[in-house]
Amino acid sequence: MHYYLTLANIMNNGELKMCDSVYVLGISSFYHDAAAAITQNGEIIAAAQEERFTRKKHDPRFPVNAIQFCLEAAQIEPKELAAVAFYDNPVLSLERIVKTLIAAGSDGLSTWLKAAPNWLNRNLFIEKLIKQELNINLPVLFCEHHFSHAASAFYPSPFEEAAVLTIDGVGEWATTSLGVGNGSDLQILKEIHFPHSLGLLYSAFTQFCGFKVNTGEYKLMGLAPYGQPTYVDIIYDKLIHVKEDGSFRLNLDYFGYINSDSMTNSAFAELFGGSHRKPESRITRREMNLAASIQRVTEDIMLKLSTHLQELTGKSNLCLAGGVALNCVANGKILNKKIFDKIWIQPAAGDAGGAIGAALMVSHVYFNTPRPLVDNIRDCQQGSYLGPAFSNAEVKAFLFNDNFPFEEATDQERAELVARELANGKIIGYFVGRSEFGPRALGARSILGDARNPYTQSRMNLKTKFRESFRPFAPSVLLEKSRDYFKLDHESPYMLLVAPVCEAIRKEASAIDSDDLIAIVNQLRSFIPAVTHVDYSARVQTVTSTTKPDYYQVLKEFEKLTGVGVIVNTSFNVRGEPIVCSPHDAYICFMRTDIDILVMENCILYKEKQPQFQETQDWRNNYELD
Amino acid sequence: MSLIKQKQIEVLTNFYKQEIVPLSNIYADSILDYACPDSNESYFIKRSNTRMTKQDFELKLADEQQAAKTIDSKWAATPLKGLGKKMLKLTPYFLKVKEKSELSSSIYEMF
Repeated sequence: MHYYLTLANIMNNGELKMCDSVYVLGISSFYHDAAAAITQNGEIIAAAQEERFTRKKHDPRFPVNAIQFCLEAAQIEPKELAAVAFYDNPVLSLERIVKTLIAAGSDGLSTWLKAAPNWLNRNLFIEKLIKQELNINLPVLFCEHHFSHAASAFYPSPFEEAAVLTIDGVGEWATTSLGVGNGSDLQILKEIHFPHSLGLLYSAFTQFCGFKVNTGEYKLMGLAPYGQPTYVDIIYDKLIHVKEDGSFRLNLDYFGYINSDSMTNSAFAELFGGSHRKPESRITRREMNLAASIQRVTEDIMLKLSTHLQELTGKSNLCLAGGVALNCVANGKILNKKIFDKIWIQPAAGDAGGAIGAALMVSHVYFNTPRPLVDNIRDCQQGSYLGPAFSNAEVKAFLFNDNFPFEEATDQERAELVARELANGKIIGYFVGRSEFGPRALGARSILGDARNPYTQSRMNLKTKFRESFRPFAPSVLLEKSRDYFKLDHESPYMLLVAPVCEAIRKEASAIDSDDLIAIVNQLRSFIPAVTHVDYSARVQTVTSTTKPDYYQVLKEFEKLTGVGVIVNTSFNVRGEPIVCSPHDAYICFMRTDIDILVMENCILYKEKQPQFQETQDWRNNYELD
Repeated sequence: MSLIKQKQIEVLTNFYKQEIVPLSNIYADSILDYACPDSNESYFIKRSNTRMTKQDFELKLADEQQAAKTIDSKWAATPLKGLGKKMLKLTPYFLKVKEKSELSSSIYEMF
């Protein structure tokens, strides 16, 4: 007999009873990347970002669609939820905001006019909003922001005990936290508080270099290897003071985020030789050097924080989360320094992952649900394939409905076909299985290419993704072959570790005395040039047969054909668009771009066989450039 | 900002001028930890409550009155004393607000 924990079980006496299943719905929203997640007895059942449904990148709105998906995935009604967990404490956040306005004085009025309507209508009344949306009276619980991050990093990790480091822009008051997890117990020991923030410092440089704050930080990281860290001393002298334990203070004289609509101010610009780069204008040597410099400082601080955390906790494993944990270059440096034996990073390290963290905190801490057993090897994130899936029948129904021609293939035929066409230089849209939770495509909603082909990078950047040519692509590699190509002594299933390309497969690039990024990008640096960055690094995804068998098989077949177990894997979208979610999204993206073949479950679509594709307006107007 | 009505701008501006600016005149330099001293060994703040307790999860924010009470109880011994109730009196002016779907490109979303 199957028992669900009903609302009455909890409400009547505050304790659980007869609880075969404790379902908790986690929600993050209102700032960046709204998301929902659902857990059952502390195990993640499903998670999704709202942007995938609304098609608005980083959509911060209340995640009604993601919630609906999670409930459907868990096959439960709202009344079967034990509680809803929100990822942030609005009272603490409001206190920080009001105090910031007091610090800003009259200059803060415009910020107040923008922020207050949402606070007075919605942010403070999340409980009412949730009850209205779910149409049920159930407990709404609130988890501190950095506890949500820490829980998202620790509980799904493969570790019974670990040190936990969270770093972001800001959540309530904290911007950095050092913690420790042991079984179901999770503590935060120390914090750094707003306005001192490594995430905000990185965002300030992002904006100054002409990229968008909140979304362009990873571009700055991608630009860094083109420059020299010539501004490091200025950054340490003027902008940030760092202690040996990695704690830091910013010098607010150079930043605008307290009292203006800009991350930086005129003093900051003066420090770096004039005003900021205009978005979409030519990237100069200054921006490359600024990117290299702030990247170096970020890595230095993250290394110091990690060292101190290891000394503080004595643990041999590290868990990371918070938006700054998406800095995979810095993560790779922490790994290489061997401060910890093993590292696990929440793949949805930003706010979206807070939905998982909040749900797990409420499960393990509020309801005392024991943490599932861990083995120090396999994590509980399920490859982060936690989003919506479409069966082959559903894909076929979509294709039949619109008369889109396709062929069918068995799983094995599909793997062979994809491998063969990749080897022939084709670009393939690959849509198989549950979609990924988090910003990285991991072989479920991916565009694939041949890493050996010297033209893959520029073709995929300019004609497929419609994005800046300097940005590198990431490799997917068979785990057991990863050491043949990369200096990586560690699994990297979530593409969150950067590792050097092995010297044995490198080619020496001729020196170019120019700022022409395209000329620099087009130099061959290895026999897998499409995934070898300018500094001979790569953002690696290791693939195993247990986590993603269909994708593993593609790599195996490609290796059989070519002798190389590496392919290019980039997210299935165009610039400014969220990663595709449905067959409809995938088909539209396929037809708008230079993708040659679309694979959706067991259906294969060739571009040249599709009916003429016409749109009434330029689709580029639908997506704001990121 | 463009979604906000003139009456809403008026009540928010009045509140800001009457409640926030006077506090700013007194506390602007001290309310946030601006300082950049380098004499301390560490800038870390040690948490006294290193774990979340059951009570920490349970915020009473069901309606305006409850929210005002919860906020003012938290702010009782601070310069923000009594501000929660005054702020929550503005809620009737904001029964309908259109949520924005895009993030700022120039400032980190933290307000």
